[in-house]
Amino acid sequence: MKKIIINRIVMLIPTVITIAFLAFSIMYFSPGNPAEILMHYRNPEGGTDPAALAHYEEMLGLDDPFLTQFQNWFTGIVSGDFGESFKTGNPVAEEFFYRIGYTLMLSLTGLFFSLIIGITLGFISAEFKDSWLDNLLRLTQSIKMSIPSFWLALFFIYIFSTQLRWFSAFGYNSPKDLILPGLVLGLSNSSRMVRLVRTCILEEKGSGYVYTARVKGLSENQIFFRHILKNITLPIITLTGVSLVSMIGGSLIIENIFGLPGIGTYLVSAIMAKDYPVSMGFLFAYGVIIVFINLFIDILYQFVDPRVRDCANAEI
Amino acid sequence: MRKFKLKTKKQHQQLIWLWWGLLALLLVLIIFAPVIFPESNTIDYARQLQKPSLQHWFGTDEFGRDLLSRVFNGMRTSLLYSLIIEAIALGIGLMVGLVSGYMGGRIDGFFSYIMNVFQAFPTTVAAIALIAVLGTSDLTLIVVLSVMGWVAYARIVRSETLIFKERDFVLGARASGANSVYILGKHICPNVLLPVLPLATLMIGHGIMAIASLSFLGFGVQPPNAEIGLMLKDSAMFINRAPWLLVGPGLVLAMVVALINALGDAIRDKLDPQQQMVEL
Repeated sequence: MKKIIINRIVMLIPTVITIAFLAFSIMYFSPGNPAEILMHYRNPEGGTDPAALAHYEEMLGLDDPFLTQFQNWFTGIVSGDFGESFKTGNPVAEEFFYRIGYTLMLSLTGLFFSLIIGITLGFISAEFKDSWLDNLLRLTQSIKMSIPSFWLALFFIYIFSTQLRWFSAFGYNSPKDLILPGLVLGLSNSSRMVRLVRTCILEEKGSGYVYTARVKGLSENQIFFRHILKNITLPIITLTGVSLVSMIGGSLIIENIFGLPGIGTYLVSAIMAKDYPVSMGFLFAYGVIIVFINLFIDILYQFVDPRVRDCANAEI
Repeated sequence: MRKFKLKTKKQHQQLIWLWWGLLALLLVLIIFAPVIFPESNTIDYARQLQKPSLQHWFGTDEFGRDLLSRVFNGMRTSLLYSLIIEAIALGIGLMVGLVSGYMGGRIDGFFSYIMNVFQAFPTTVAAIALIAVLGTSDLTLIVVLSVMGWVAYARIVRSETLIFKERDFVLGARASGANSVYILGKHICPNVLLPVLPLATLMIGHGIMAIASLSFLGFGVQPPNAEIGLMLKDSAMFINRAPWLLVGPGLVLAMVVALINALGDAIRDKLDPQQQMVEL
């Protein structure tokens, strides 16, 4: 186990460098001259003055070979300097740390909803196995898997914002504005949690130690809270990590629909505006965050009881 | 008790036939969309943002185009692109998986590393990064999603190859002097294709969803072409005036994806009854 964990941590270094490499490629391989774009943003009425263009080209170091440019950018990143936005001139790192809070808050709200929905429905589904309720819940889950999150979001906006007027449809003014996007994110990511909880509970219920506990005379409630819950906690936590990854990915679309000032909204507009320093920095940070969460999941997974892994395997 | 069970089983069978009938109907409508719904691009400002009616089942959009026609023509594009994407992804995944699993050693180590790096990115984020470089076009969309999609296939093919390369018929072929390319092509490839089939079916649905998501953000299919994500993006602007525009596209997309997923599940159950037992 130790060996696996150390191996994963060592693998982190080349992975992060590869991500940096991919993120940096955006500016280098994009068609067009970045200096021209920067010049246009700095001085919209400046026209095309070759001297000014040469100045900006030198400022960005565009004449250097690829590896030198990459090295300069990467050493900057390591020391916390992500460069400055073409469009606004603000430091990218500052923008990032201002916006990451919203994305994390949204993801955590989503996680909260998906845990509540997943554990409750999974428990009900397992408790009433093969009844009409179980079948209905399972059918709902498989239908939900085929509904795109942005459609769900628009549907919820229509019902709760434009009709009932409970929440605002766009923008962020108070933490209340996170409820609706969080609910959408949680709902569209809860199917796996429901199935995991159901499968794990059923598998545990059929196992030897539960039988023994029953023979010993423990009530079903005692068995559930003392034994089963204890054993399925770790798979649930592990899947929570996996969900967090897909939620950070999914928040990109949700933020755009609800107009939340998170990194997803900013990244999409930066790419549209060819604001390379922002796109590069944000993508790199995105990748690194995901890599670290994945590392954490992998390590956590090593601690999951091998007997419980079977039920977790299908979902994680 | 026994009677009751028999009845439900028969009902279950009927339900399954209903599903497949629905899938077949939708597929026919999608494949022959240009013939059945030829007027998907006819602009008529006299009938802007109309409510669903007998002439226009899903209503009309801001240019007065019939939404039902656009939905099925759009689904046709999505399905076609998704099939191309899966074919490319499957091709790359098959090659990498076969070579990686059969050769082992350093080659395997190298490809496994590449696969890990690819999996480190969430698909949407990686896709957007690539689109930033390549620019938005339909071709980019296909390239990007194929590049992101091969890893899942490669993993399965690799693990299956590891199993099959120790089997007697492969060892026998090797003993009789067959070279690696022949063994991979003739003996291992046909055997590893079968376990990939359920995944490939599911991935078609995934592909359609991914195309819709990227188009919704403005990175995928470009107007005036019809596509579900794009249609929903446009409809979202009229959410107060014409909320019914959201219903049709989403419903058809969800139905098609759900039916394709069900097909994938059915194939998996057929191929691997063991898995079905574990899932309870």
